[in-house]
Amino acid sequence: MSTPSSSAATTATGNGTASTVAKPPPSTSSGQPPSPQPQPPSSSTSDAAAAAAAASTNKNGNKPVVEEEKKMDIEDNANKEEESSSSNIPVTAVAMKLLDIKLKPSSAIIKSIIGEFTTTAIQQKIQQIVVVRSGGVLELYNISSSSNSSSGASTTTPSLKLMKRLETRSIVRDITTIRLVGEKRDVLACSSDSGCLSIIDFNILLKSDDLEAAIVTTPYGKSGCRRSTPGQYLASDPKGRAICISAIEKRKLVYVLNHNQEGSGAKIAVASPLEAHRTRTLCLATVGIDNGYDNPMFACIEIQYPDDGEDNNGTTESNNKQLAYYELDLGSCIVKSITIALLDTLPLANSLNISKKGLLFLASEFGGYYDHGLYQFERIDLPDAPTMKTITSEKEIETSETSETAAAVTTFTPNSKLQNLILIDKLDNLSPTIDVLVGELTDGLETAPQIYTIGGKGPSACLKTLRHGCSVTELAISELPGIPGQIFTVNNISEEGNSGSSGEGDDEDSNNNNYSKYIVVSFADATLVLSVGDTVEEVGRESGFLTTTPTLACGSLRNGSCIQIHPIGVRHILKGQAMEWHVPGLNKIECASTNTSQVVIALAGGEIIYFELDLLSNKLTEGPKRRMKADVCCLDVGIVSSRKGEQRSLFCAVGCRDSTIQIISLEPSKDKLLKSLGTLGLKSRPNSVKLLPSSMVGGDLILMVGLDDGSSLRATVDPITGSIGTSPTRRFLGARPVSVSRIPIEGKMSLLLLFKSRVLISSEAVPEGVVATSGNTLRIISIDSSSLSNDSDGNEAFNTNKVSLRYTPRQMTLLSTTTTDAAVVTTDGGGDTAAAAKQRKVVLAVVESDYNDYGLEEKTSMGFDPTGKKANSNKKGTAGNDDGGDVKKEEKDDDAMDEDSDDDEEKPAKVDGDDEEEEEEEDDDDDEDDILARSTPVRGPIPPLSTPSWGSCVRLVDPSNACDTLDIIEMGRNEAALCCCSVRFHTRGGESLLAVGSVSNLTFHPLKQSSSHIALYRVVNGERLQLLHKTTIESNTTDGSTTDVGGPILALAHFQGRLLVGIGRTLRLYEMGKRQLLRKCELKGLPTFIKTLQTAGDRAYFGDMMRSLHIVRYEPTANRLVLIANDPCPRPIVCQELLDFNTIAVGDKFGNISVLRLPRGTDTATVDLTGERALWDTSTKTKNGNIGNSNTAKLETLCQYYVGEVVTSMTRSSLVAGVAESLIYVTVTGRIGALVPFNSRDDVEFYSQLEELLRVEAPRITGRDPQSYRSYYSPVMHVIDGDLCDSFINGGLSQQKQTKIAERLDRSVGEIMKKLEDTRNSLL
Amino acid sequence: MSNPGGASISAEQLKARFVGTGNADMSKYEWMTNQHRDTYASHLAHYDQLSYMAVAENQSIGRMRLKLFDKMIQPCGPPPPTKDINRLAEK
Repeated sequence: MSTPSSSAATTATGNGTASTVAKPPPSTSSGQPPSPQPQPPSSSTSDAAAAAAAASTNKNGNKPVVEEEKKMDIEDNANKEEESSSSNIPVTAVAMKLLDIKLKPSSAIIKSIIGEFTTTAIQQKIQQIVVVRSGGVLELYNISSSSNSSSGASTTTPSLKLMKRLETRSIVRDITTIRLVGEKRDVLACSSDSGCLSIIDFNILLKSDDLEAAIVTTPYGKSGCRRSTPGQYLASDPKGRAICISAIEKRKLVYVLNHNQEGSGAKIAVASPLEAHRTRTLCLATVGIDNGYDNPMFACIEIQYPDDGEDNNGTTESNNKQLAYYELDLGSCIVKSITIALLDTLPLANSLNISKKGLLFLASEFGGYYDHGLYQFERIDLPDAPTMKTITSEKEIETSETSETAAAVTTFTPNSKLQNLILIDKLDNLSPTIDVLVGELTDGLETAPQIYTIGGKGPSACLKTLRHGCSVTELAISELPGIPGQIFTVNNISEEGNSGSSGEGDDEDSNNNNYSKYIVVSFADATLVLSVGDTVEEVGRESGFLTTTPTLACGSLRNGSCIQIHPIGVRHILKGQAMEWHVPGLNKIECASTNTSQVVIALAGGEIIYFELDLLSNKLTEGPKRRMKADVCCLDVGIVSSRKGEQRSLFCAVGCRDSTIQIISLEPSKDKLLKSLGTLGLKSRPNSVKLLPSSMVGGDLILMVGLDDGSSLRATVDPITGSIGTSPTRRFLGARPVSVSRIPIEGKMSLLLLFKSRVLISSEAVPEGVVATSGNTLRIISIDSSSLSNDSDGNEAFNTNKVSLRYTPRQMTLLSTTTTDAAVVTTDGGGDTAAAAKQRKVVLAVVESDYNDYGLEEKTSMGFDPTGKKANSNKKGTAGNDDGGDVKKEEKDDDAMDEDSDDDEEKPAKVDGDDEEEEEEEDDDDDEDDILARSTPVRGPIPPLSTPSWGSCVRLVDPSNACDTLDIIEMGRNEAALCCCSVRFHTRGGESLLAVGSVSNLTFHPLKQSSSHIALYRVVNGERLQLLHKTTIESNTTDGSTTDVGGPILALAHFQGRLLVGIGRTLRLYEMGKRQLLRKCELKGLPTFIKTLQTAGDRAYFGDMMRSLHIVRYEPTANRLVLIANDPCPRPIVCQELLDFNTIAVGDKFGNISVLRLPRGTDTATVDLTGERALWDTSTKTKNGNIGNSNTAKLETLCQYYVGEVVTSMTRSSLVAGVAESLIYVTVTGRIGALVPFNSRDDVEFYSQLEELLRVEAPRITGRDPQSYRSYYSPVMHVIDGDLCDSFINGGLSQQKQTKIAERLDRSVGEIMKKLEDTRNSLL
Repeated sequence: MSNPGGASISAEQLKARFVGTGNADMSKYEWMTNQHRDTYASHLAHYDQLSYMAVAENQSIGRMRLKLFDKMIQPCGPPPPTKDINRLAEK
């Protein structure tokens, strides 16, 4: 942001956040008497922070949320700014400027609807699904019945295919379909926090990509998600005559819809709304009723609450829900009989959509191990359905007691195995993501760091490992006799020659006969030829290939012949006859390249010889020669696209040892052939080079170079002159030489960059497969195209591995341990053999806990059987008991522990088997896929609300071995482990111990617990947890009153060789003792709850659950913790990450990220030279018992940004080795993003100006102003919205607008796109 | 106060139109109740906050939503006896 606004924004921040400060309201717990008197702050704050304890949620949210109060001011500022900046945007140096880049969009689906939104060319109707994701993204999916774009002969299973993604940059609250009278298609109505109703026509959008023509927005109210601003519910009349939009309280608007007479008929005319308000009425749901062509009618479930002023003598009718019908007078409802039968048990869903083709789309509420799924109905006849309930008449519904009906419904028992449905496709769901870690933890097996997230809830809890890149499926592995050098495929080209498609087959109409014929594997001194069919088999001589020498290049020519280039010659195989061309003299061919009509070879010494296929004689004719300045190390002749009617490729790219790439002409005229057209100097020697034709006609060719230093380079080549474009895009991949291959994905030509040779095959069985060599094995893999679909929209593709957990994970930490070399435990349980050298090993500890759930032991003793198999239940029951018994033993008996972990080694699934049914079943059943497609998470027995209980465990995971569970310790005794950290006590010689904070008998309503504990575990041999001791902090004194130091432990941190613990409102420093932890010093009277805690040097930084961040310093001389600074804004902290000694990034409960800094010089002011308590000591308590006063130094807000979802965790890390760090964050709905610091003034200037222009120019799908969205709670400061900047490329901007913006920035459109891409590439 | 059209509207009309518009005689109870209802409504409307709470309480989002609706009926309990309100208003 530019100067005029930054100062304005700062002041506005103060005002804006100040307005969210509220006096502590009376306690909200239901059982309490009316409380007109002001409550002491302690009681209300404790209530407020109730939920927080577990994951940290302040659900009571005592603080009223004032949204958008400052919106007008912001807009005013923005307007002023636009005026002032229109001519010149000054950019001053700022302390910190960040760019928000989205790595993975939110995967939670708020609502999904099914409809027919677009028409195909042949007017065929297809049902499509529109989902609204958290974070305001609308996505349109086709339920396509073909599994792939090419015509595969395999059976077709329906799958979801992303057609369109719309970033609304607003909070989308509800969507519905409208089909106007007489229309054959649906349009989408969407309500958001913008205060506008928007109607989106996907048909126009997909055809013309013109957002402005496709969207109609009608404003009706204030922005923000307010109590009485309509927008929470949308319901449409099934006949498409009216739409009802209602608020949570009181207000409802009904719009009458008509065809727009002017312009195109597709547009909808929205008349001014009719009001249907009812005061003191809360609306729970709204739906349109199908009553034919009678007056449109809407039904709502409502609650009417009594007037606040009325004294109703304490009679509260809490459950007076009403069904209200609203009839729209433009010019009755009967239930006959309902039969309810249990069909199947599915995961909890936000939306269910059934298509006409018998498919069910389920948008799951929480993901984790289970994702959003597309299910197929196999049968719905239920002769032996478990339970049935028939309601015969409307009367019965009215008369029957609510409780009776409820009781009848609850007799359904959930079944974890699907009987009638089968899962056929799924969409990723990372929601809720609770914690994130980034690091390379696989023991050097991989080059780029992985992202570890924990998330999921209850039975679908899991630990996910995300790697940047597409996911691949391995189809076949076969052993090779040696380590292969290169690998090629030879395509089967029909001799008619009409297709003549190149080896990489971009020609779709000839796909049927364009499958790979051979896989050619070249070894150091031999060649192996494999034929591709249903199976891959070795063929000998009959292929005609020379198998006794290595192969440098091979391919098929357009006349159906094959060509093989080996070190001493070129072998042309036509109809089984081979013709050889030998290299003159003793020279050898160094490298070669071929396409369907041309061959280029390079001899040692840098001589290049050109051959071309003569179509008349069907022979290769030798062309001219040319000597390069240096030896040639790689070559590519490009490909010939027969679809465009080309006869030959006009360019050849040559990489030489003098670190240059040259483009040489292959134009047949004498003076031009083999003439150099352009040269590109490189920093390192090229390893591999490929030319890729442009997707556009007449567009630039793309030159891709893989370098020896592990980076890749992309440049453009002019299609006429052959000159190489300036400023190639560079991307670092890893520490090994990069090779480049061409592969088609979904019909588009793509390039594959890798460290080892890989080639594409396509066969009838596998339309798009990749052959790869790894070590001495040959692998055939297919690329998961669904993971690629995101890529086209500027989102990075990640592939995910997941490991199932037992309970909802709360926190994870890395532990560095030492192992002995012989750590592999033998199956006989005989213990470890003598140790060799000690090795460092990094393990991951995860604490898991679930409120209102039984522990595993209790669950199994109750006979909970998630598999639903009677036959299996006995066996399982005993297994579970054994396991449960072992948990107890583990803590006492080392031998028992050995045995237990042996079990784990043998069957990693067993650890979880008892509550993760699908893994257990895998042992029993062969068809694992089928089992997975038929499993559903079931929660099991739920304790009564009167006696809430906890299930909890501590788990040790090995990240270097596919995140296998090493050890697991069940907490038991109603104890919940909520936080963990790695601590190295200096009294114990720096060994890493695992400290786990847990709470006993914690309840949320009201918030109380009997005691808190800190358990210390040692990691034995890098694979087992050994409990050292447990320190208990009693919350209540003997007379039952709460002590000053009680409270749940939510945060732990290693601090100067000791352990710093946040216990409720107290910060305590512990030293390790023999039998328990020894208290060294403490700081009492902190505002509410310590939620987050980090340390650096002599400072500790803790986030309070309601009162933002505090900085504390430890003074060793006086053995005191002194508060040195706090934040004037009361942010409810959820997570924090230290950026440097004075700077901290925090995430709050409302979805903001702020960066706070300790002003310069404030630290020294609190240095207490005497060691005595000085008068100005800010750690002294004030009247209300809280520490800190107006003299306490205040933190400055450097950056402020509304992410849109609650940020649950942040970590400072780089995603590529050796690149500057950025702040990686995850949100509760599964978004992964990065805040990247700018490193040059130019970048800051560019992005600020681009953002400024796009705020005005970018189309607003829901009518929301992007700047006010990012300033939802307080004005955005010094963070650039990368999503908005990316909308330059894919945000539906017209070409004129792009040019207009580019002109204002004094750059070309291409330059802007390249800049945006470069920024993204430098991150990943 | 005026409408976009220019016609002035009275405080009574304003109060009728917008929920929670205060007045000079408003009791602390009413004020508090309104604030709480605003807060719960905001939690209800933000899916991310709702799911965050649902994870903490191991509850489904639907139940969490219903719970917040129930709390909105009388967030600060039943109104205090009338004389109390008078006493507070005098303060």
